[in-house]
Amino acid sequence: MEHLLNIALLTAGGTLAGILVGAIPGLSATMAVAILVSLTYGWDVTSALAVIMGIYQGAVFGGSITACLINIPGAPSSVVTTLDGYPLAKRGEGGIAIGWACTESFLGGLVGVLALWIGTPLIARIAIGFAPQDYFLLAIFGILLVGSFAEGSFGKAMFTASLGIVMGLIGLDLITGMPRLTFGNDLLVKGVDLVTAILGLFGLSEVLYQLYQNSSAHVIQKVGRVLPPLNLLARYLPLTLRTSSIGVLIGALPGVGGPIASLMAYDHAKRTVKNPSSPFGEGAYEGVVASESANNAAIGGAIIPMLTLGIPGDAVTAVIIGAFQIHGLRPGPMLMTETPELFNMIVLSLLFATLFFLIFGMLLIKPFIKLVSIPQNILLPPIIFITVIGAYAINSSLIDVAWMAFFGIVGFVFKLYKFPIPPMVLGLVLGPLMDETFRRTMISYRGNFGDLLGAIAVSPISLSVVALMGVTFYLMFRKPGKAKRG
Amino acid sequence: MKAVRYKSGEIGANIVFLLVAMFFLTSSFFIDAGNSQALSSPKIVPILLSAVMVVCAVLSLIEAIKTRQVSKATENVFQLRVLTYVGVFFVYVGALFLLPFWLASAAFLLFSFLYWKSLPPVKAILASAGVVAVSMTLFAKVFYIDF
Repeated sequence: MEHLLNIALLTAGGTLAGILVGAIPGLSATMAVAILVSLTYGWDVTSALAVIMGIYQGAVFGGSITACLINIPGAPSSVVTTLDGYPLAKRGEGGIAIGWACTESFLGGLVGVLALWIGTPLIARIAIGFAPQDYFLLAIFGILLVGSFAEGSFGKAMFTASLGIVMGLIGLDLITGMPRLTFGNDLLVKGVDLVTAILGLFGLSEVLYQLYQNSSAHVIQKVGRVLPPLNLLARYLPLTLRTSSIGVLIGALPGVGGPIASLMAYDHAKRTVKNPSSPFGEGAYEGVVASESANNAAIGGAIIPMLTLGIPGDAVTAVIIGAFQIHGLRPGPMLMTETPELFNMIVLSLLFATLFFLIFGMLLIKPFIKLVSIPQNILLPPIIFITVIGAYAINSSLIDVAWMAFFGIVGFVFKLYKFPIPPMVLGLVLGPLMDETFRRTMISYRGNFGDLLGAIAVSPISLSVVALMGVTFYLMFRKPGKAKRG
Repeated sequence: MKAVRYKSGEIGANIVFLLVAMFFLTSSFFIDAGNSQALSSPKIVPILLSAVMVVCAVLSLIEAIKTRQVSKATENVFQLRVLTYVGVFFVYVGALFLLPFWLASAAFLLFSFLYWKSLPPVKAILASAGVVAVSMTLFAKVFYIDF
C-alpha cells in the first residue's frame, strides 16, 4: 500500500511537471524525460519510471493548452489540435477547447493503457521467437518510417538517420570487442551516451532555436467554462474509440509517435464525420476530439514495441530505453518474463497519470496559463542551466556536459537548415541493434546472402515484418505526394 | 548592374555535412576487421551507412545549389546576437571546468538575463542567484547529485 501511494505521488508530481513542460512552447516531453532520466540515476528504477510516465502523459496533454489558446502547439503531437482548438478559442470557447482536449486525452489515454496492458504480453510472446534478421528488418522499417514522416526532405532525414547509426557504433564492437571509430581516443571508447546526445539534440538545440526565432509576446485568448457538455461527450464516444485505436496502432509503429497519430486520426474524422459541430478547421469539436484522443492513445502504443522489442515507438520511448540501460536493464521479450512487476508498474503509472492530468487539467488551467505567459527570454536561460545539470547528473562528469553542448550545436545547425533530428535519435538507438543483428545473421548464414533471403522467405515472422513494411508504406504513399505532418 | 548576393549559408552547411560524411566513410575503411568475413565484418555497417550519408549529402547539396536565393546584403543583427550567445554558452561550459559549478552557472544566468534584456540588473542578480541556489539544493537533496 505504501509503495502504491509512493508511485501515485511520484506520478502526480511527474504529471504536473509534464503538463507545464508540454504547455510551454520550446520545451518538450523528450527534453524533460531526458533530464529526468539522468537526474533519477540514483533512484530505484520503478520510482524513476513512475515520474517519467507522469511527464510523458502530462506533456502530451499539456501541449494542447497553448495549441488552443495561442495557436502554438506546446508539443509536436498538438500541432493538429491548433487547427480547430484555436478557432474555438477565438470565438470565446477557449475553456471548452481545453476541456475537450483534457477529456479526450483522458479517454485516449485509457484506451492506450488498455492496449498496452493487453498487447504487450501478446507481442512479447511472439517476440521470443524473433530471429536476429527480424530485429534487423524491424529496425530498417523504423528508420525508413521515421524518415518518411520527418520534416524536410527524405534525403535529409536519411542523412541524419545514417549519422545517428554511425555515431551509435562508436566505441567497442559488441561482437569482436575491438574499438571502432574511436581514433585512439579514450573518451570515445565508451561510445556516445544516448541520454547526453538526446539532451543536446532535443533540449539545448530547441532552446537555442527558440531564442533564434525571437518569438514575440503571445496573445492569449480568454478562458471561460472548461467542462464540455456531457451529452456531446457521449455522442462523440464512437469517434473517440476509433481515433484512439488509430492512435494506438500508429503509436506502435517504430519511430512514428503522437504527431502522425493525431494527423491520421484528424484525417479519419474529416472523412467520416458527416455533420461536424462546425466545419473542420473552423472550430469543430470533432477535430479536437480526434487529435487529442489519438495523441494520448499513441503513448500506450509507443511503449509496446519499446518493452517487447527494444525498438522505440517515438523519441520519448527512445529516451526511456536509455533509462532502462542506466539501470542495467535491457528492453525486450525477456524483460517481461524476468521482471513482470516492472511492466505492471508502468501500466499502473500510466493509469495514474491519465487520472491525474484529467484532474489537474480541469482544475488548474488558469495557473498554467499564467506560467505559460512568462516571456521566453526569462524562461529559457534557466532551462539551459537545468539541461546542463541534467547532462552533469548522468555520471557527475563535466565531459558529459561538453558532449551535450556538442550535440546541442549539431541539433541547432540541423534545425537551421531543416535537417530533421528524430531520425538521428532513432539511429543512435537502433544503430547498435542493427549492426549486431545483421552481423549475427550473416555469421549464422556464413556470409551467404542468398541463404538469408531464403530464410526470410520461409519464416512466418520475417515475412510478416516484410509484409507490414509493404502495407504500411503502401498506405502511407498511395495518395499523390508524400504524407506530411500537419 | 546590380550586385547579387546568394544565400551561401545553406550551401556551406551542406558542404560541411558532405565532408563529415566522407570523413566517416574514409574512417570506416580503417576499422580493424580482424579475421571476419566481409558481410559479418565490424566495418560493413559503418561503410554502408556512411556511403548512404555521402549520397544524401550530395543530393542535399545539389538541392541547396538549385534553390539558392538572392538575399539582401544586410546583416540580420538579431541572428548575430544569437550566434554570439551560442559562443558565450561554450565559454560557460569551459568555465565549468575551471570554476565552481555554482559560480560559473550564476555568471552565465546573469549574463543571459542582461544580454536578452529580460530583467533589470538588480532583479537579474537576484534571479540568477535564486535559480542557482534553489536548483542546486533541490537537485542535490532530491536527486543526490554531487556538484
